[in-house]
Amino acid sequence: MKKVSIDPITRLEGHGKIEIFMDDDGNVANAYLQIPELRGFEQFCVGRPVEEVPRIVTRICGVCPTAHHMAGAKAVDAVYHVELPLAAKKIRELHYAVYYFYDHTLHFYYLGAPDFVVGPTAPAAKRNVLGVIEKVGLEIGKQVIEHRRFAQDMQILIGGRSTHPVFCIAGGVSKGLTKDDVAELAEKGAKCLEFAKFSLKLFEDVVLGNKEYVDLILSEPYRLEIGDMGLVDENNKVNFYDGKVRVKDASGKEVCKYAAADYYEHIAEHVEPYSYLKYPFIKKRGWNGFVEGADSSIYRAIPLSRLNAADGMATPLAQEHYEKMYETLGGKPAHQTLAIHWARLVELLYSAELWMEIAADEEILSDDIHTIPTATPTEGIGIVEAPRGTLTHHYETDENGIVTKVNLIVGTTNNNAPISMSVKKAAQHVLAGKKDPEEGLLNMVEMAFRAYDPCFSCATHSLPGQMPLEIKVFEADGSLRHHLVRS
Amino acid sequence: MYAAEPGACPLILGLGNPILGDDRIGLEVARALHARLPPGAAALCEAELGGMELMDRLEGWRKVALIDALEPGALEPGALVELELDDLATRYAPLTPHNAGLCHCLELGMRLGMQMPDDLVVFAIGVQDPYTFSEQLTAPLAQALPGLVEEIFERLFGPVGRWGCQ
Repeated sequence: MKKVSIDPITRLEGHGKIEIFMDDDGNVANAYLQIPELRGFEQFCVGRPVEEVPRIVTRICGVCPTAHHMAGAKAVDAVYHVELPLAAKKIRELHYAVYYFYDHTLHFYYLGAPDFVVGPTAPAAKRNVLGVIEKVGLEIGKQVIEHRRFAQDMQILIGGRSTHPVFCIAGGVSKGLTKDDVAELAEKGAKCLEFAKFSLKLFEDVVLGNKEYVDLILSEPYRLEIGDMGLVDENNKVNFYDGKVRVKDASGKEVCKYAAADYYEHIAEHVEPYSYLKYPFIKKRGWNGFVEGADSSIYRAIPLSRLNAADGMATPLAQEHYEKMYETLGGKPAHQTLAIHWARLVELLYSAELWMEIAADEEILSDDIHTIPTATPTEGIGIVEAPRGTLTHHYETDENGIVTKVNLIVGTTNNNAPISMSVKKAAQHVLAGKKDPEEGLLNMVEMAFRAYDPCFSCATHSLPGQMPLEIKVFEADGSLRHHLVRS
Repeated sequence: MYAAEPGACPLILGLGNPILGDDRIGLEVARALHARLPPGAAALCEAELGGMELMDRLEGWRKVALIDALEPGALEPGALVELELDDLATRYAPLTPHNAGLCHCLELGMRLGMQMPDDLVVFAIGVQDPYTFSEQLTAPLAQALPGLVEEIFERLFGPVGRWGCQ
């Protein structure tokens, strides 16, 4: 059996690595995602006051610090058995909507667009945001930067800092909003809403207007029929911050719907001997392997999953685009991995609409933003939808609020099995029978991986500052046959 | 974050994760170097981030010294290497937007009309363990810290340093 290894050699974003094992006939036999372990997070937290943890967890990930801050804050609320004042909850949700706008904009233009706007088989040197700007024009590039900055400034206004927010405290938020703050939020929000509409229009023009791309999205190698997970509100609409976790199987049937505190009853984690990675699955179905179909116990937690798991979007424009997406994809649930990019844009629009909706709510001007905890702290679980998947924080403390146990299920962990399965399917298609896979073909495999926007990072960066990829093709006896570097 | 307005003086930009052991070395060296200088000689930015957000931190500064950890195994723990931009030239398209490299950020910023540094130097430091959550450096890094600060001070601000005697 030969081995193809897609192996980042820097630590940035963690050392994510994909190993593809080929059989003697040159066909892909299997594919596995490998992520190196960052050690000692629980020990790092144990012994600290639990209210510090939401500020610590922003440092474990350079990609989703705000999501960790929110999940951590909700877990601490639960540890202290405290209910938030309505204004505090809305301010948190507003911040989170702004963060989603920021994150989804970044992902689409910097990561998704290169594959579609520049082209999946374009040279790697062009397949980046600079190539996108070359293709769509400098003006759009400036728009991306400008709106990203609007969202960043508004995160600072609400959360105190751009990357590592500090404003969520047990029972509320540390700072309220003034009329001037809200006026600025509304002004920037209106611009960002227009930009979200523009982004969907761009997607329709560039991607949906190109038959080749539509065929690629709908093609079998980029389809994965497994379950879907997402947080929903009381009307079963997509919600990023609050609600219940709903899981549907590949046929669209609801398998379970649970509150944060009950996650352990519904989700279990499988371990394979070749990896320390955990593979979450639907507990009541039991682990039945890396298989597709209505009986599969594997689910994914991505933008498309959130839309699949819900009954719709809670805002009108996002709902329109939600309906259009499913109509184009041939119905619901949709299992096209590359449609994750489209779902992400529907969520981008939803985040901008939600931003405007909350900014127009006078409740956020209330001074009642903090309930002082009085109960004895015990144990708490907080769940939010991180842009990269459902994020669960579980803390236990002693009676003084000192941490005794921490467990996190991060967004990408939910997708460990689906990423491996998606990569395998794409690799089976593009590498089958090819002794010397070309760089462009390799990118077609990576596209399956990139659509998930995986986050392996618990570090912020490290020189040389980028994550290069290597492909190693091994003979059946383990000897190196090819060593390709994507450059 | 900054002690001065952009462009008024050189910027010392420390990069790192403060809770991942040796990954904090860039932050510690930058802080100690800044403290070693007379008031107003340079600004300090401790950046616990990477990717495109680095571009925001660079905007408006003419002279920048970036101090960061080098990937493990590339250099002896505690050893220092000075890199020019050519040494970091992009060989790969970023796999995620969150890891867009320094060169990528600079090029994008320039194309978009942002003022990017025209004099940028990178100091990379070899590390032993940036994978274990800790607020402490490993012993080799802790021992090397004072020497690293002096070395970078001389190269930047010493009598024959890059930016002259301050």
